[in-house]
Amino acid sequence: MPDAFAPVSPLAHVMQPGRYGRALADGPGVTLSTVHPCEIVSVISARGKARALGTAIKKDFGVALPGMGQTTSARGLMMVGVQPDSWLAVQAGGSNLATRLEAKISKLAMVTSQSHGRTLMRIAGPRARDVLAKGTAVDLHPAIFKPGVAAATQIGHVGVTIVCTGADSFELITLSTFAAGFWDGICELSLEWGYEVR
Amino acid sequence: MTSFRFDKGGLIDRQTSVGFSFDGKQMTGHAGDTLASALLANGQLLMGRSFKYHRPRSVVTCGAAEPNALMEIGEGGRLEPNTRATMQELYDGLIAKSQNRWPTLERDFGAINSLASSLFVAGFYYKTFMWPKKFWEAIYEPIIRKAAGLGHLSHEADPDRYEKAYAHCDVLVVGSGPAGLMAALAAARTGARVIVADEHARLGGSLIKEREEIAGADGVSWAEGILSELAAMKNVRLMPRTTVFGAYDDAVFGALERVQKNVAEPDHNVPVEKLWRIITKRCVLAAGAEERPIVFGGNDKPGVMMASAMRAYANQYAVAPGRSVTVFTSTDSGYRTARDMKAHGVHVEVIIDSRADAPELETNGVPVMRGALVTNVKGGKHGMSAVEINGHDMIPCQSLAMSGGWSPVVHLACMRGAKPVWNDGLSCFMPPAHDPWTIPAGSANGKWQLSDCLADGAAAGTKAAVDAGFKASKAAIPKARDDAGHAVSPLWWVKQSTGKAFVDYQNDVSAKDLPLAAREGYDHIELAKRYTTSGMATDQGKLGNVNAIGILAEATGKSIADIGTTTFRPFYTPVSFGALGGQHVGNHFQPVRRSPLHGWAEKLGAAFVETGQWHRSSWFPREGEDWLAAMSREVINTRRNVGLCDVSTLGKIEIKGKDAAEFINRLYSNPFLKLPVGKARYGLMLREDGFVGDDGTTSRLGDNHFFMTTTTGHAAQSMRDIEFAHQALWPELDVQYVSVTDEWAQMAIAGPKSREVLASVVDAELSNEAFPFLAAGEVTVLGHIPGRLFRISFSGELAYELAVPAGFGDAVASAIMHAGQPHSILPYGLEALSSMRVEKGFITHNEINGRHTAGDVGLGRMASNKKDYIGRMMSEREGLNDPDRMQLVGVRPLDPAKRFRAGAHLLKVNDKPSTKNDQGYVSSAAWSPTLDSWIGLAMLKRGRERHGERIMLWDGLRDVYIEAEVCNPVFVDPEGEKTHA
Repeated sequence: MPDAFAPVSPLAHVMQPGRYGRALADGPGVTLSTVHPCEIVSVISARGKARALGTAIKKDFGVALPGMGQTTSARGLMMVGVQPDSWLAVQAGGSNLATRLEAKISKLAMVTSQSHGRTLMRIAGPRARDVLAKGTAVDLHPAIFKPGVAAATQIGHVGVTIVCTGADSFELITLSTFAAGFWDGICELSLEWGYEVR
Repeated sequence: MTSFRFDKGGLIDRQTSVGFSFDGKQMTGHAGDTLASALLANGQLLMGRSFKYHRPRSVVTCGAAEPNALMEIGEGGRLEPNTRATMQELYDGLIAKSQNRWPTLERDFGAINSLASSLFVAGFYYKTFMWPKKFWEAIYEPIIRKAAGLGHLSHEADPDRYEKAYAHCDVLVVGSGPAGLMAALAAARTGARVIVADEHARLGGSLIKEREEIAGADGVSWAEGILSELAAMKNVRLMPRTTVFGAYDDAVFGALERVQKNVAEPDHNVPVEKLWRIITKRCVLAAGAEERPIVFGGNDKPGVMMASAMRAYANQYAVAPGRSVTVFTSTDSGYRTARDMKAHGVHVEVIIDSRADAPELETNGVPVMRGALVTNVKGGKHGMSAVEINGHDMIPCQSLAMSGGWSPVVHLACMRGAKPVWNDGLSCFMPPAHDPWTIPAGSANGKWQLSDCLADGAAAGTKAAVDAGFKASKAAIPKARDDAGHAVSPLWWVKQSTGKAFVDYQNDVSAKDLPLAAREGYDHIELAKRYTTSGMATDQGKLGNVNAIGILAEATGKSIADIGTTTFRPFYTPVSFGALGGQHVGNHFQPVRRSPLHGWAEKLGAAFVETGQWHRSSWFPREGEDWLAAMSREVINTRRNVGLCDVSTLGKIEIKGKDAAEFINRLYSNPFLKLPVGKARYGLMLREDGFVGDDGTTSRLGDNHFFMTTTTGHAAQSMRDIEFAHQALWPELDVQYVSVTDEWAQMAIAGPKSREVLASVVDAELSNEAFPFLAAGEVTVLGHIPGRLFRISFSGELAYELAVPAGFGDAVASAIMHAGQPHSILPYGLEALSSMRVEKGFITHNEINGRHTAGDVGLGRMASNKKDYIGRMMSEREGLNDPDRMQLVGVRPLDPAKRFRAGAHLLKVNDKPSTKNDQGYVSSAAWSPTLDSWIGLAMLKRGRERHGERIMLWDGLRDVYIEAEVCNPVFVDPEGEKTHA
């Protein structure tokens, strides 16, 4: 038995790096990838403690708490406002984010690790918005759905939080048990303009 | 065949030849052709047979309304019936077949129906096929269906892909004719996001069908100029080949884009069709107007065509249905066809104008007969030879153009329920005025003159953008050459006709059918539609409906406004099921949910079963084993040694907060306030109506920290219930909760040797004293993985459930299997789990089915009377406490090998099966490897006092009728000694 196991991504068996779909002259329409391991932690404010929570997070983690449907980032930590008084804290890699949050804010909020329960994928490229528009009813116009904006929506009947992280870059956070099928679906919707899995 | 292609002209690419086949015959057309124009160019005037009488028919329109030229396109899985040849772009290798004929289009056996046409009058189904009654299903219906089909399906899977997508804009412009282009331009210049959708492959609407002049240029060039300006604007999206087929709530429109219906072999990476949901703020309806036919004898004969279609074929495609034309018109616009055809060098015999007082209009020398009527058409399947005027005069000619006025295409403005409004001055139904989202423009708004359409379009585009929140911007309206006039005197029906006169071509409804329907009592337009079938089927009467309304008005002595229209509903034109299904086919029909232990189970050869979205490991067969053998082995091994089962699908909810214990105490019917830290408890939840809703265990991991599990199937609903309870019922409670179903891989390790196996992977003291039944706690697994261990049992054995973060599930399960080897550990699946739970009399959603109370399922003592909780009040209703209610029992067949299934009814011995005699039903049935017998759980009237009684299990569906004994529902280890070991 090895000394330590590394967690396995729910996408491990479906992700195959390479070029797929239509080969257009100006390259693949989108690039698909995942971030693994990735720490995703649910932070839900205790009753009446949202303001104090915001102050504490700002002080200890350097990031302001965003409103619903918005994101803020600092020092590699992104906060996503997903529900009233409820956020996802997202940080690539594994650095005990849940434990560190718990240590600082356990009196103000429920801190629950979802690092295994949520899977983060990235879609980027000139056709990213077109691919996502095949799944979500959210208006993805670049003037509206711009960096710093997030939406909780559905693609192919699977709940997903979409975060705009750059001009044509998005992060998609889904439930891990749906992630493999969700990934397949996104790949299929990307065929039209070609995609690269990294 | 009389139809032909001109030597020059048209917007086709004469340099590019396109080969296709029609009914097996190879033909050639040009790029830019539709199938219909290419057929005409090949002299193929005969394009189909009619629905009822199998009359020879040719194309009558050049657009979406086409009722006659319906074809089967493609072969095998790609075959698509009822495709309108007028809308089908020609492509190399296109295979088209005519429909509704046997054995061939030329010699059609069904044409014999014409001889019996007196039988097939309105309502003939109801009149002819009534008796004998049993003949309907066995004989009449199959024969009618065979005879009256509109095309065939291949019954092969469609190899192509379809997709759905959303689009958002401020202004959706439907139609790209003069009004649509001006609307788009006016709206786009304000900065609004504009989508222009047009059903045709080439944008420009009537401008590419007519010979217009705008701003000193011809209409085609002007349209191209505007289109390139629009295409260059970032806020404009042009969508050709896109039919906006439906208007839905608020300003959501459905549209179908035919992405690859113009190629023989579609690129598999690209969908052949895309179904769009367009979410807009305003819609400019610039869908144009449909020219109305005139109902006269022989108006369906090949060679008779809508006047506007005839000049469109000439102008856009350089084809004509015949070398000589007669125009029959009740409008000024009929004259235009005479002029255009003459300009293309086609001989125009005469203009028959039904109006005695018709104005003097430019005819380019074509003679006009005023106040005359066409009463019949002479001709056959290969074309017409003459037109009969006023019942006697014959004018030889090869084609006839008819023009009965114009109907705005109002559909999209009426699909939300508003009715179109009859306008006497314009002789047409106008779009309803009070749809806040839809602004009609151009001829869809009753504007017939080109300059009016341009101005109306610009105004509508500006209004739409302003309504959507943008500041108006000036769009200059170009000067256009107008027609002399657009007057119309409605002529619904030439009653003097000497031949059969059709109102609805597609359904073979003749003019006489409508007065007949009225006489027989079906005088409401909705009833007349169904009784006569006028306005039904794929074209929904786009051509003939207004004539039908006019004829019905005359027959009933009412006004057209009083008769009104039938209801407008989506879809404007047919939409394929493929497009409606989109990408949600095959594996994507519904989301697939994989447990974190899916891969682990796969490696061990599990067979999976779909339970809702989950794919669960069901049994682990060895070579030669069926499910029963595998399951039996798994049960016996678990009860004798130890087994591992994936239970990750259970709903899991993390609950924290100052008031967490109080919150949970109100959710469950049994008390939870005093649950000690480090303990799990079985909990029962009632619904608000007092029936059992769900069950599960909840463990207290800290003073204010709980971990709740729900059943797999009820997980989402339980989460919703909890959200509702907190948000709506008790918002004052300081409690937070989040679903962690996906965070944890959870496995049951069950069997007398489970303790030894677990001890080697978990860093915790597991003795019965240190970790007794219902203990719960956080543990470290394999030295570094944070886990949670619960001593709970769904099998009745000494058992644990171990949860580890999902990404470690495979590693931990594999490590446990490895550690368990010396103890003969085996994996077990859902089947074994189910069998063991039935052996133990544990309930699941087979019993928690919304019909049973806590008392019914033997858990009455779990309904506390010392606290309030959800469902308590309603559970105290008299009927829910009736001693006659069904109660949970076990049933064992006297012959243990006799199989029965859940759903079997319980009857007293010697009672006949009937609702009155019904004693209850089997809720769960399983093979018990422990008892070597089929066993079941059942709900039986007053069951608890009937243990030992003989009863019959009756399953009428499967023809099962066997004797059984009522018994304690706990078949194995009723004292629970093993669980506590």
